[in-house]
Amino acid sequence: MRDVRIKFSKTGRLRFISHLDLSRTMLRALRRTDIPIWYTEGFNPHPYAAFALPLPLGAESENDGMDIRVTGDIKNAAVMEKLNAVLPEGLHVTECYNPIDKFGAITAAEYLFFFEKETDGDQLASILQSGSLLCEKSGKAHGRKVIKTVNLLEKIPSYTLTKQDDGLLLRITLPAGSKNNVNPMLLAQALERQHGIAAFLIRRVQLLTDHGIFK
Amino acid sequence: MKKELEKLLLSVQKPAAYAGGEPGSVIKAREDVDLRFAFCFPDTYEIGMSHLGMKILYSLINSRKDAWCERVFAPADDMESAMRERQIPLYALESGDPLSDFDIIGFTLMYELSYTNVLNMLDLAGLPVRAKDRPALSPLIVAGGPCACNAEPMADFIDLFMLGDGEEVMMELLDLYKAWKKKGGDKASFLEAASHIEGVYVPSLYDVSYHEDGTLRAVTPLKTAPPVVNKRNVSDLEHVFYPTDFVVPYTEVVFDRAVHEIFRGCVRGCRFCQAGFIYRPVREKSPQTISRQSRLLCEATGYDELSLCSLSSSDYSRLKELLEELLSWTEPMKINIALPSLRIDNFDRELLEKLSSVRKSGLTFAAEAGTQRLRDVINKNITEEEILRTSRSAFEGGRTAVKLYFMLGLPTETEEDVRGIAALAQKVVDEFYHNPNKPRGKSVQVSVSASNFVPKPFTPFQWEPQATEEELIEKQKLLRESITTRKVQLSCHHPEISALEGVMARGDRRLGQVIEQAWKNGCRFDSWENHFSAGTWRDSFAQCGISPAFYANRRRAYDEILPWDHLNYGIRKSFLQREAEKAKNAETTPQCRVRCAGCGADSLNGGHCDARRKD
Repeated sequence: MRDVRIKFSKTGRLRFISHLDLSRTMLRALRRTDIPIWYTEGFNPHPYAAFALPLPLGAESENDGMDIRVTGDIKNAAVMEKLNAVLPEGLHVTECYNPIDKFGAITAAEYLFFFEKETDGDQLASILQSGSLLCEKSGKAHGRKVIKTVNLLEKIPSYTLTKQDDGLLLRITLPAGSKNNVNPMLLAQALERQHGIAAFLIRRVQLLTDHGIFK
Repeated sequence: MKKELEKLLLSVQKPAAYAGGEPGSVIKAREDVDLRFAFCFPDTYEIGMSHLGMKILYSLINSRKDAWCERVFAPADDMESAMRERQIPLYALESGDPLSDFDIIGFTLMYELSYTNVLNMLDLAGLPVRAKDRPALSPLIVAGGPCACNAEPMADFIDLFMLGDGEEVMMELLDLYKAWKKKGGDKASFLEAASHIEGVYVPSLYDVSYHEDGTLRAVTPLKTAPPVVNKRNVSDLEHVFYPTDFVVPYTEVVFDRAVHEIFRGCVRGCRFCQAGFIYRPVREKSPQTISRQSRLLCEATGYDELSLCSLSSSDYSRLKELLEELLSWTEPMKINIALPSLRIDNFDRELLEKLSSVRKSGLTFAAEAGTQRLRDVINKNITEEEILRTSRSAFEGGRTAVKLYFMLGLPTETEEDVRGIAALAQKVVDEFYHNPNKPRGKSVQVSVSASNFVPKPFTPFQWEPQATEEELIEKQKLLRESITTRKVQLSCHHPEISALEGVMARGDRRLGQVIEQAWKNGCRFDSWENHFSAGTWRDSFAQCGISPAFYANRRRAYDEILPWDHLNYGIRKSFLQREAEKAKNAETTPQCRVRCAGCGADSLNGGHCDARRKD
């Protein structure tokens, strides 16, 4: 019995499925293969799978992580091949290896925001550097719904802006993980609602730890 | 996917329901097929994706090289307004192409209250809702499903209906359409030719006339249309097509599991139950075939639950053999078997323990009526003793919840029958407290669900007046007052929704204008309590000068021509009349395996019925 880390991309129409949907889809895909998956031993046995960092609905990802547990003799390359054979269009395994970092080590993530050509890059840059972009976030506290205001740019992020043929590309690193997390969709929403700058696509490209790329 | 649509999907609830691309969905090249079929379910994705009939016909049509079947569901409110605002026409999930590109658009009519959704979907596709305003052969609008057995209220909108089992008639219809398309034939000649296919009903080929009192005078076939249309019957369930793959949804749907239909028809003959009659005769599938096909299905989909579907699981004659066969591979594959509508009392306990569904879910009894007299009237052969005995053993097994289903407004119902519901629920509660080994510190919960009886075509109660809204409200009030313990929880259905269902169920063609008016006035999703607008429907009936009571609350004479009399589901009218008379005297009819009641359904099945074959 051992864990296999599966790096995968979630693109195209698959960005419209939620984290819960993704988990269900992956487990069912695993069951369509003959990969010897380990089942939990409880009252209702189910395969073990854990995800590195949930991706918000609507965003694409090039490099997401999921751990599964296998029994018996199977090579990582075979897990990748078998899984890719049954995954729907939009989900694709890019790499399988023995886990190195813990999920808890993730502290940041790098994203791409695609904007239309007409977008004012200078305005965008000045907002990102202002250190303040407030948004209302609904959450739960003591089982009750609460709405609190958060500053999405409390820590001024590192970013680059590039003009491309078909628009403006923002490459930005935002805090991520269990301690401090900035949801890229909330950032996009705030930019659109408060400043009229609308991103048409958001893609997570990398999960990061304090020491570099999440392995 | 189009960029415009992608943007829109980010702004609506549950976008996965509109994105398509699920595992198991079938993609073909447009230029490789001769026929494009849009299978429409007139309700939301979550409901429609749970429907077995759609899965069967989807796979069946796609098994043809020359045809491509795609899925379409009714968009929820937020999506509908976003689509209308941006002028995005209703599209099919596989290709994203608008409905107007399709050759045939097929609706499944599962319940009467989805009718306004059918109109709304046609309109969202930019198509005229009335059949006469669509002169071209394409797109042809067809419909099937249980409501097709009285299709009259939808006759103005649908070009043709398929009655009965869909598997064979669908293929023949596609062949005919393909030939017509190739030769450039027109719609009128196509419809006439289609009316000669067994199971196809073309409403525009029948002239309907009325007496002065509003009842039917005659239904007259035009041209060469048959005077009586037989439903289609698939006689060999063993060899009929069954899918080896399902579209597996990403997002949560009501029933998300592998399903296998173990038999068609029902032996019970409950007099209120339309499904129990229109799906007759009983036709069983062998345990070996069910097991082999289900295994392929589970392997292809990755589902971890297999549900065995039928109108009454425990009436499958070889259930034990089937379960043993299934368990041999479902256990190692970690697949749970769900066996809905099971009668626990006459069943092998050891085997039962292995079925997770029984372990997980609560205990449910469809008692339907509160007294033995009324249960005899409706021929529901479950006794109080059975309910109490099974509850007792469930409580002894540590369970603390029981659900009881009842109907209000049944024919001959008295106040005593209504109070009987509360009394029966109380007896179940008492049963819990009489158990010496009851779990400590735990209370019992008996949920009583009271729906409203709606008389349906092709049942012995098809001539009965439906209880009025006022009567139903009174009965609900009486029932609520009769329940004196907090251990019993009562939930009732909306009387106005049931009233509308009753009107549509036994309606005629004149209701078409009311449906159209109601849809124009904003009605959709009428089966959803939060959507249903009784006031708008009332106004719509008034605007059309049509009285709902004429259809729902009037006793019909045995010799009155009923709007569905020219459709033949095999069930003899004389049998239904006999059953109706027995009901009045609270006389029961034994289930079909005990003694054949001579319903006549075998006449469409070459004289065979699997309920009679054994013993």
